[in-house]
Formats: sequence, structure tokens, C-alpha cells
Amino acid sequence: MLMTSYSQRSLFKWACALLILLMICAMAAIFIFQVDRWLPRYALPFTDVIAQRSQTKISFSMVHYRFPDHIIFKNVTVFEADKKAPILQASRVTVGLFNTIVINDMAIHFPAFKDYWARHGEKVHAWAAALPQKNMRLVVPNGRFYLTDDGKGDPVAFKIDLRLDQDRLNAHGSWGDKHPFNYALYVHAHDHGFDLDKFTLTDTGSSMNLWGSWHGDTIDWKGFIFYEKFYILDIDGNLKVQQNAVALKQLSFNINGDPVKVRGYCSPKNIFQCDADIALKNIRLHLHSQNTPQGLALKGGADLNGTHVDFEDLTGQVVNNNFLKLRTKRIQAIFPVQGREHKVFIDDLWASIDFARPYQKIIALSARMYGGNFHSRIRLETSSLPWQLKGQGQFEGIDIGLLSSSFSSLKQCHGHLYGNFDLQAPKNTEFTGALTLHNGDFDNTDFQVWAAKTLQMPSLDHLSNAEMSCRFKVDEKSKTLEDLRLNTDEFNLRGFFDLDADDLVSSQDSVRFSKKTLSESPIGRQIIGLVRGAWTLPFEFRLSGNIYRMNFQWDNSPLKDKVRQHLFSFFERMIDQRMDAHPVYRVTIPSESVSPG
Amino acid sequence: MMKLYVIILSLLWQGCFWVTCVKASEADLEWKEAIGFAKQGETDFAFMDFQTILDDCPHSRHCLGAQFALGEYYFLQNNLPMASEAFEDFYAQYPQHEEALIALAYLFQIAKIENRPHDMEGYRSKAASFRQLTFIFNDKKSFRFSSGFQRKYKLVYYINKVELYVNDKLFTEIPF
Repeated sequence: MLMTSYSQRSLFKWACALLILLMICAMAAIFIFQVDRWLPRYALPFTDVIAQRSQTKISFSMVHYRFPDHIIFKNVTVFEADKKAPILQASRVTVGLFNTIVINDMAIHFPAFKDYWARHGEKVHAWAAALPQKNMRLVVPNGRFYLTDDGKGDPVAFKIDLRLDQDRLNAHGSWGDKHPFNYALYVHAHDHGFDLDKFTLTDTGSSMNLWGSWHGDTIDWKGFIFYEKFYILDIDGNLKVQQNAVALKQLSFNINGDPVKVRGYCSPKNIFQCDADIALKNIRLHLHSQNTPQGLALKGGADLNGTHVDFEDLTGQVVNNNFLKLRTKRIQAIFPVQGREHKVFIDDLWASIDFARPYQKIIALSARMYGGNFHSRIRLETSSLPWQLKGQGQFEGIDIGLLSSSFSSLKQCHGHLYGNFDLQAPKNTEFTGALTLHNGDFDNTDFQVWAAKTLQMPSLDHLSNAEMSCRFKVDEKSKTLEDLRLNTDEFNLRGFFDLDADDLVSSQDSVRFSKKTLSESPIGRQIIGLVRGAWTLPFEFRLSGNIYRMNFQWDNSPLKDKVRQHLFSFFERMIDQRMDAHPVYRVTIPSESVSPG
Repeated sequence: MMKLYVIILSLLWQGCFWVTCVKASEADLEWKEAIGFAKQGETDFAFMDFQTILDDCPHSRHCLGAQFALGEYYFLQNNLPMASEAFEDFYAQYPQHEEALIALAYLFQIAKIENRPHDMEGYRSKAASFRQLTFIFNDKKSFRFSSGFQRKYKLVYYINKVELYVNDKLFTEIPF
């Protein structure tokens, strides 16, 4: 009996507790239901006010309350007012009543954001600065940063955990997918600006540490960076933010001991419109950036050891964290060769650069050059300075006529060049490859004038239907053409040609003239008279000495032997002496000084 | 009386030219003496005479030989820096003369002895540009020169090198 009443009492207690619990749940449900019912009525005007002030349009699919203190917006999209491209998207924005905001699956569309900021940045900044200061925390656990307009392509992943605590701002997080780097930021604000106590970026192989301050209109910062095998030390920068310009008064640092200095300024209306002068050892670089419909475009020029390079409309696109695509409309390089100025133009250059491997960059290039095309693959080893380059490339259909605008010695030449090459620089610099020329015409080049006068064959002034092939090699010591084959209507030539760094020539060749060409020369006519079918026998010769004053030797050959059979020795000596005194030579040897050995 | 004046005036007139005449013959005498000393092996005295010719008779026909002999003397004394300087002066003064190439050959050899490859390249380049030659039937040409110190020089040009023989022995070869 006693046992029964105890059980009944216990059951009653539990039933009451359960009932109370159910009532609380029902009340909570009713409360949440009511809040959820009323929430959009308040949330919509609230977001409208934010949108109006920030010059945006904010849409979300639903908003609801989550016990105890969270309001959740789902499928949030922020557009620039009157624009269709989204600036920011999120699957869920959780706003805590205790000033915590968590944004899940946040996507930032950089091109749209950049345009928006260029148009409204100033107003939005003023509005944000006027908001009441409150402690808050912003968390983005899994953000994506899109660099393309259409939101396609691989985005860059990022994480943010930002705390604003009175006058202190701390933030940390990460950036990147495959090789993410972590960042941390500690800022201390005060009346006239803030002090940057610490800003660090680190990944597995590199780190950056910066600190500084923003007082009034002056930003100062110092720091150091370790990136792969580069040590960027003694960073010292000074920036002035003025009404008419943001001026980089000074930025100096050392890269592995080499000092670098940068100066520049940006327009405050468009922070992407900047000018900068950079000096690194003997390199002087000027850059000008501006916002274009294609994105941020760079224009600039660089001076290095007498070579000047200009480029225009350089635009870049990061496809993912490790892949960069660059395009430039035109590159012009002006460089001296043996005292003469040469200009080279490259149009529509596309470069794809893969940064995935540490200490190695893989670059693919393609461009239009002189009416033809150029393709190249390059590996750049960046483990130590100077960076070592190895590459291969092909070019096709290069119009020599157009090339003559850069190399005046080719002015009277026509035809198309095809070839491939291997390149290695700057250690053991070597440029090797093969070259072919089709349908070439050469008129009155310096070499032709020399050959026509020396050999007394006027038709050599004009060579037509030239077909040429050779292998070439250019290194620090010499420039060589090997296995040279040149077939024209006037002659066929085989041989090699080497020009060393002191302009000294070494060449051994074999040439077979057509009967018509050989007949033009008085000596040729005599040879035809002496040797039957002389034009069928090759004429072997050698060139040597300074390229502008080459020595010439008729090498021993069946043709020479046959000619000698018909000549007296004294006549041979007479010919030799007469050749020495030929008017094409700038210096003649007095006959009393030199006698045949 | 009149005749006396004429004689005196003509003597004075001649006297104006006397100095150069004396100098001309003095240079010949100095040269002869220097050659004599050189033949006797008295190189120091020969050197002094060659120096005298250059100092006192700067326009004499023996200046080329005397100037060359200075470089030769320093080289024989193994004073290579001074020899180098003297041959540089000679090359600068007589760039169009064949003897200048002998001076270049000396400079090349001195640079080789002193292990100065960069200078060797420079002299090689100058030697290669010295003359433009054509070899149709012969493959070499030569030039002979007898110096103040009675050394017999023979330059032999080939298409791609110059050889210098001193007293019929190969002294140096400049390939290019």
C-alpha cells in the first residue's frame, strides 16, 4: 500500500515536470513562431536601410530566429544598386544578439566588388566610420574569393575570425587552398589613427612580419619577409594619404643584400590608378596601373644595362592560388648591338605562370611577332639569385621584311623564317636551335656588296628565291651557324660561320656558282676558260679576322688544283699582290713591305 | 767691303739651318753608335743612345727603330711592365706600320707571361683587325724587320693566325 502510494506520487511528480517542460517548449515554440512571423517585417526595412546607406541591394531567401540569441538569414546576396552582378553571397548569415556575426559559405566576387568600391568607396567609408563603435566578432569559417567576373574558375578559399574590442582589433585566419597561408593582425586604434602592433603572414616555406602606425595622414611600416630563399629585410615604408593623392614617399628594403627603392602615388578616387618608380641594382622600372574594362592594367618601362623595355596594357588574372595568366598588348624592347640601336616588338603576348612548385615557376608564352607566331615554354628556377631560366620555343612565319624595321641590315631582305630553339640563361647562357628561310630575297646587304665587289660578280647584289637552313648556337663566347645551306638562283653555299665575342670570324665554306654568275667575273671567265665545266666544281674558301675586315683564303680543292696547272708561279704571286691592293680594302699593304712567303 | 757683308750674312743665314743639319747627322751618328754597342752586347749603352735619338731628334727617320728598341731593351731586361708600356707607346705612335704588329705580338706575349687573359683577348682582337688579307694561291705572307738590337724579326700572316719569329725561332703565335 505504502509502496503503491510512493509510486503514484513519483509518477505524479514526473508527469508535472514533463507537463511544465512541454508547456515551456510550447511557449518557446509559440515565441519562436511569433518571432519568425514578425521578424521579416523588421528585418526587411533594416536591411533596406543598410542597403540604401551602403549603395547596395540586399536579398535573402528567409530569416528566422534561433534560440537563444541568434537571427539567421539564409541565401543572402548583396548587389551593387542597379547592378545584376553580385558582390557578396552567403548561404547563411547568423547575427548574434551579443554582437557576433557568422557568415557561412561567403563568396566575394572581386571584379564586382572592385567596381563597386571604385564608385562608392568614399561614401561607404564615411558611413561606416559614423556608425556607433561596438564590440563585435565576425567569423567567416569557409569563404571563397572569386577573381573572375562570372564566378567561374577556381576561387581562393579563406577564413576570417575578427574581433573588435573597444579600440583593439584582432584578426586571424587563412588564405588559399593547396598551400594556404595563415595571417594574424593586431591593431590598436587611438584618436588620430592606429598602431599596427603585428601583421604576420606564414605558410610552410615563407613568412612576413610587419608593424607600423597610421597617424593623421601618415602611414609608416617596417618589417621583414622570408620567401623561399629570399630574405627581404629592413623594410621601411612611408605613405602619405592626402586629398589629391596617396603618395608612397619611400619604400626601401634589401633583397638578399641588394637594396631596392620604390616611390609612387595613387589617385584617392581610384586606388587602382597608380604610378611607381622602382630601382633595383642596375634596373630602373616605371609602372602605371589603371582600371580598365578588362581589369587592372599595367603600363610601364624598364631600363637594364642599356636595354629599355616598354609594355602596355598588361593585365593579369589569377586562375587559382597558384596559376597566373598575364596578357600584354605590346612589348617594345630597345637594345644596342655593336653601337647600333635595335628595336624589337612583340604583340599580344600571353603568359601563363604556374607557381605550384616551390622554387620553380613554369611559364608558357605565346605571341605574335613580325607577322608570325612565337611559342615558348620556360622553367624558371628561383632557388637562388640570379634566377636560372631554361626554355624551348618555336617561331613560324616571321616576315623578314617586317623584321627589317628592327634590324636595318635586313632592310633589303624578304622571306619567312621558321625555327625552334632552346634557351638557357643567365648562368651558362646558351641559345641553340634550327632556322629555315623560304622564298628569301636579299638586295644590297653589306655582305652582298662586299662579296659582289670582291668577287667582281655584280649579280650577287641581288639574290632571289633563297632557301636557307642552318643550326644556330649563341652563347657568351660566340654566335655560330652550323650546317649552313643556302640555295639561290645565283649560287649554292654550304658551310659554317662563327663570330666570337670580339667580332672575330671563323668560317669555312663551299660555294658553287651558276655558270651565268661565274661568267660575270673576269677571274671567273678566265677560270671557265682554263677549266672545263668549272661551274660544276665547288669553290672552297675560308673567312677569318674582324667581321668588318675579313681575311679571305681560297682553300685547296680540285678546282684550285686545276686552275694552278695552267698558271705560272709568278702569275699567282702577281694575283695575290693585286688582291691585297684591291680598293675594297681600307688598308693596303705596301708591296715593298710584304712579300709572298 | 760689300763682299764681306754678303759673306757674313750668308754665313749667318746658313747658321740658321746648321742646327738641324747637325741634329740630322747627330741622329745618324747616335744610331750608328747604338748599333755598334748592340753588336758588342753593350745593351745599356745602346739603350742610352736610342733614348738620346728620341729625346734630341724627335723627327729623325731612326725614331721608329729607336722607339721599338726601347721596348725590346726592357723586354730583354725582363722588365715586363716597362716593356709593355714602351710597346703600347710604339703601337699608338705607328699604328699603320707593320712593326706595330710586332709590338702587338710582344704585348700579347707579355700578357701571356703575366697571365692576363683579358688583355690577351684585346691584343688578339687588335692583331686580327690589323690587316685585311686575301690569300688566293699562297696560304701565307711574311714581313721581315731587323731591330736596333740586331734581332731579326719575321712576321708570318695566315688566314687565321699571325706568327712572330725572332732570329728564326718562333717567339709567339696569335690565333684568331
